[in-house]
Amino acid sequence: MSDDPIPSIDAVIDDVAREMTSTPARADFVERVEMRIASAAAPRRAIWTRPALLAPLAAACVLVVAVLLARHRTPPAEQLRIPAPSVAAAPTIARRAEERPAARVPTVVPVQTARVPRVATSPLPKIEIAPLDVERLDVAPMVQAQQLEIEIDPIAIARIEIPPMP
Amino acid sequence: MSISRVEDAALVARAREGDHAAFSALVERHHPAVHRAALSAVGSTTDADDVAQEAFLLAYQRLRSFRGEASFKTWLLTITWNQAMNHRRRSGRWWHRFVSVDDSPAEPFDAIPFASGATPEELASAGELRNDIRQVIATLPRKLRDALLLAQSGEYSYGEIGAMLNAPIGTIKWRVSEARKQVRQLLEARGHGAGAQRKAGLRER
Repeated sequence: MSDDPIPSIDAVIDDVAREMTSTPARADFVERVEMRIASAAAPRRAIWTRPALLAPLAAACVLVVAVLLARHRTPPAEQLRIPAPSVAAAPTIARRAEERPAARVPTVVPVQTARVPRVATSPLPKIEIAPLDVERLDVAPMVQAQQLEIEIDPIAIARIEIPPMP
Repeated sequence: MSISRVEDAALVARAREGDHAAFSALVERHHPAVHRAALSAVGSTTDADDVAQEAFLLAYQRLRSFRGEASFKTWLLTITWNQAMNHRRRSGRWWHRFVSVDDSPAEPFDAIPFASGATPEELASAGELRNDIRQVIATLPRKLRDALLLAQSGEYSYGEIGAMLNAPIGTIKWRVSEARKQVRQLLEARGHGAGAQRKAGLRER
């Protein structure tokens, strides 16, 4: 501020501006900064070793493994014994179609085949097939066709007389 | 040697080697300037405290990156201002704390500059004027307000303000002058013309 006993408006503006930022910091400011620096400088435990983070992570891993095992488990024996209805089912459905009134019978009877569950991993009993006895077939060699000459007479067309239109 | 006589550069060197006392000395030495800069930016003592603490913590963590091209104080103030700007962005309520006319106590008259032998009427007018100036400063564009508050705090050189606001010294001076001009115009619009200023015991410019 100027030494002028009567201040100008600018001096008052400057003074008010100074006053707006003149609130001092809290008395324990330096101590609090030191505490924060000390806590920041302290060696931190690695984030991956914190139990609060590790416990749910481990639980999630166990859950995932359990789900995977359940999905890849071998199906029970009852499922393996389900007969394959591919051939037998078709006549049944066709017969049902014949029993219906003629008007409702479609022209083409759809043959539905039931879905056979794929059991890739189940061990099936090995089927032994005996060798078939087949008589020897002697096949004569092919006779080469003789070259034939075909003579075609010229086509004779009789003259057609057409009377003049009346 | 007393630590208060040790220069900043020496304290920084010691702090880099892990001397916590040296950094505490730097905090002790510069916290008024840091706090005031933070207060200029965020407008609340509580928020300014937080910003200042963050600034010191960040300065400590980045101490190795301080190359001494500018003074430690300038470097620290730049960090402080950046932290304050981050805080401003995070909270939209940053500046309105300066505008506390209705719920704040009236200005103490002995803090108001006035001509000696002022009448009670002059004192009342001066108090009203200061209150209006406070409000008008709060409504200034940010760039002008920041420059005015930092310049008038008496804590920083124009070079330091320029480093904080990332602007040349000439620009800072222009902003301060422009801020004053706009405050005068806004005061006149509020009825604080030459006549009212005389009434408040102020001389004309």
